Amino acid sequence: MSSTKPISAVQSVVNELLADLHAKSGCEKIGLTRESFAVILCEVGSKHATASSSETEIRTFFLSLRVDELALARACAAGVNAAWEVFLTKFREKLYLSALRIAREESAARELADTLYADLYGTNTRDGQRVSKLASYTGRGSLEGWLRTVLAQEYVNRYRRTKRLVSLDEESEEGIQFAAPDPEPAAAADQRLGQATDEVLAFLSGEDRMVLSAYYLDGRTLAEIARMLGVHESTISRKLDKLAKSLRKQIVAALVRRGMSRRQAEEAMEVDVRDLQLDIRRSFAQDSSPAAFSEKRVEARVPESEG
Amino acid sequence: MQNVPKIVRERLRAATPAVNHPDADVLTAFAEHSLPELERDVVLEHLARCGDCRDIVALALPAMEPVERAIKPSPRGWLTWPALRWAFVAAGVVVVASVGIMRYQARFQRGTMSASYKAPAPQAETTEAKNQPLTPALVAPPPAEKREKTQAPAAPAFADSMIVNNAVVADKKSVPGVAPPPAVTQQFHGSAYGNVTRRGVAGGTVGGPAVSNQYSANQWQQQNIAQNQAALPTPSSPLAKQQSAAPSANAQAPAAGQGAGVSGAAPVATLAQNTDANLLQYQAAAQPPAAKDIMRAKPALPAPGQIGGHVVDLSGAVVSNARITVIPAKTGGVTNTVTDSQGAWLIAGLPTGNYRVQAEAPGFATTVQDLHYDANQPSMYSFILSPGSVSETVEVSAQAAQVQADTASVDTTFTTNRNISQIPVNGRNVTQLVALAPGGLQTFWSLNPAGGLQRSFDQGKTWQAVKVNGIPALNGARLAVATETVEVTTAQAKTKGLEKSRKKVAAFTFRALAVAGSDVWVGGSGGALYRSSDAGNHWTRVVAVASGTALTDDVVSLEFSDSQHGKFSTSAGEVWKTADAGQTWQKQ
Repeated sequence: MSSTKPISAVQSVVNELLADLHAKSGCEKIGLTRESFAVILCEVGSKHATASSSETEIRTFFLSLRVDELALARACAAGVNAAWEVFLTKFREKLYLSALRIAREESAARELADTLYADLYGTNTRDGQRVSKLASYTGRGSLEGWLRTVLAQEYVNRYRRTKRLVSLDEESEEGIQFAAPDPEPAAAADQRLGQATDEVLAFLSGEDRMVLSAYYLDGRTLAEIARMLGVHESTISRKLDKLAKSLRKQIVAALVRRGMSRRQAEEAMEVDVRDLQLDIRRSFAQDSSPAAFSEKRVEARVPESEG
Repeated sequence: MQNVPKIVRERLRAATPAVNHPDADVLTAFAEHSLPELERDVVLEHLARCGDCRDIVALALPAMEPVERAIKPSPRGWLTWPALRWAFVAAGVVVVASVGIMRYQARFQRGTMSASYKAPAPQAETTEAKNQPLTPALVAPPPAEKREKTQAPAAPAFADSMIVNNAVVADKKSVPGVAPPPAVTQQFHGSAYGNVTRRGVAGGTVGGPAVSNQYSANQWQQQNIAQNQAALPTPSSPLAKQQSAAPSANAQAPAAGQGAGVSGAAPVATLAQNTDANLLQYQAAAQPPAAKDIMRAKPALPAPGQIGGHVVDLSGAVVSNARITVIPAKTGGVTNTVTDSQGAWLIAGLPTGNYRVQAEAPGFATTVQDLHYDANQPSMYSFILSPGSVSETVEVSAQAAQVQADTASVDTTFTTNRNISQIPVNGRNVTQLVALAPGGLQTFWSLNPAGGLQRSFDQGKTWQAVKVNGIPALNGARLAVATETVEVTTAQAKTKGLEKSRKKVAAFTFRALAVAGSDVWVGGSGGALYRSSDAGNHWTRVVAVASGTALTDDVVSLEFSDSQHGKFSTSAGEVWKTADAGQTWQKQ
């Protein structure tokens, strides 16, 4: 995607704002020259901008960047020792603390932090060039937040995957009851139910669906979800209430639209979705849908035979 | 919250798998609400389908409340019984009053029944402690568990015991019990401590003060009175029965105090059985057995003349083997101790004064407290250590004074133990240290837990960090430029499984150490292998090459039978041998 348009547009905006941004960044103190900073800004801008970005958009983008942290990160990525001193003073402690919060357990946290540390420092080399994760920081969010996110990513990639597998075994061990599938519902009805639900869900905004997923699939608390979205807990609570009430109604309506009678539709809602589960399970097996094996809270009646 | 229909959940879960996970930058910006509207919607859409990214966002949230503090008063204490609360208050009042009297009396009545009379609580505990063997069921079970259960019964029993004139108590505590000198408890006390406080570490012990500050304070005072005389001079000097009893009682008492909170029932019960036993043991005053008893006794708040506390980390877990250094402002006698497996420490025999107490442990930032310590008002000085770089592997020899000049007690008993416990072997067998001493130099070598190399010329009393070719001994912050680049192939590492995917900060940590004659070998991350023939002053890097490939995995163990023959094993499970002092190697 390196068409010339965005780059030149970006370039001109950078030139325009360079003095300003450079002053804000304090990159001289950490050993980054003005020129290299300009190059960095261009790179960041090009990554973000698309062919259709207007100049104002680009300008807003640049003005919203945290240039001082960007400069620090890039200076560190380049191996400037002065920058590293600053970085360590500011973030070393927080890195370990965040790792501890994420991993909750000391040795795992230490390992997590150390690994990230190595990545940040650039102990990996590619083509003889030192590669540091810090080079991928673009200043859109705070450096501290970025560090936490990266830690969390690393943690999820490493530990949660294996944990998820385990939790399924635990589920089986715990003897989740698998009742016999109800023979009544025909496959046709199930399909309509699935379709109707999909239709209704599609009408929901991403945020609504995210809240639903986070609450019912991940089992997160209202407070957590609220913090994730930056709203008050009560907002989430109200939203979930509304959704729960309306979903049922809407699905029934959608089923009716698909030809069921009202009573049929309502019965269909009561149906055990175990048969429906068959398809879902199969599709789970195919893709790496991460929500596959999450919380046991949701009464996943997975027929063992299909497992 | 109303449930959504099952079908909804199923369909949510079956949502088309998310691809194009937003990168860390975007997720961070999302979490910090600095994304423009359009982008935010895109991210939300992705989050609606991608549980992993939801997890990441949730995990990456900044801490809202401070990480659970260890010193948290137990929410469900026996004080939840309103009646008990008042009983406590009443008991406290009585105690304060009687304390005043006792104090007065104690000064003039050494070794009389009044002593025992005065310290019913301590005795309760001492007997309890002694009764360990007799009533293991009562005492042994982790007090923490019992805390909730026995709170209630404890209260009345204890309250009674607190009331000096209570006949019941007086009966049972005919004689101050266990002889174990408080000194003994220095280390063991801790473990008794530990027992009480498992969750919310200080919860148990501090649960005492936190929950019933007034109560414990009273208790201390009470014990203080009784022990006033015996406090400083140690139990080893069996002044008077009561004297030694008192200190030991004291030692136990705080434990008891907690014990009261913790397993009040126990002391009471054991009391019943104990009167004679008390007398006997009490006369024996054998320290070691007493120590054992104390070890299992309930942890105690420090008695007068004692200073102690806990060391925990941010999550509230105990930090054992943390070094506690108590530096008095006036005299030069520095006391050291090490927290036991329950993270507790106790030092007795310190005079009133200003002190600086320092807690350090590998992997944590050293924490220091300056405090004014009043021997008559012992308090807990606990530490919450936050993770930090391995700050010191060097013991400042200036503070090596391990024998306290002012009291003869504490140290004499423990000198050996303390030495040994303070050698930073951290899990390694102490005898290994001996084996490490190269020929004539009597140098001890060790690796600190963070992977730094250190040596000692004085049999482990003091250690100096050793730099190997400019690679500092410390891990972490001091990432000096490596003398060679080490390729750590990430993909390879990951496929080898979690165990081996540990990417230590390459080339900066040593994990294996071997001494053969006058040669010292160290091996570490990324295939780092160094040898020194002059006790560590100069090092040569040994590049191990076998069948054409150089070593890049971490060296996890090293063995050299003599200066020529040796082998090491790597994190990849290989074993490399040499018969020519490292010039050539064969892989097994």
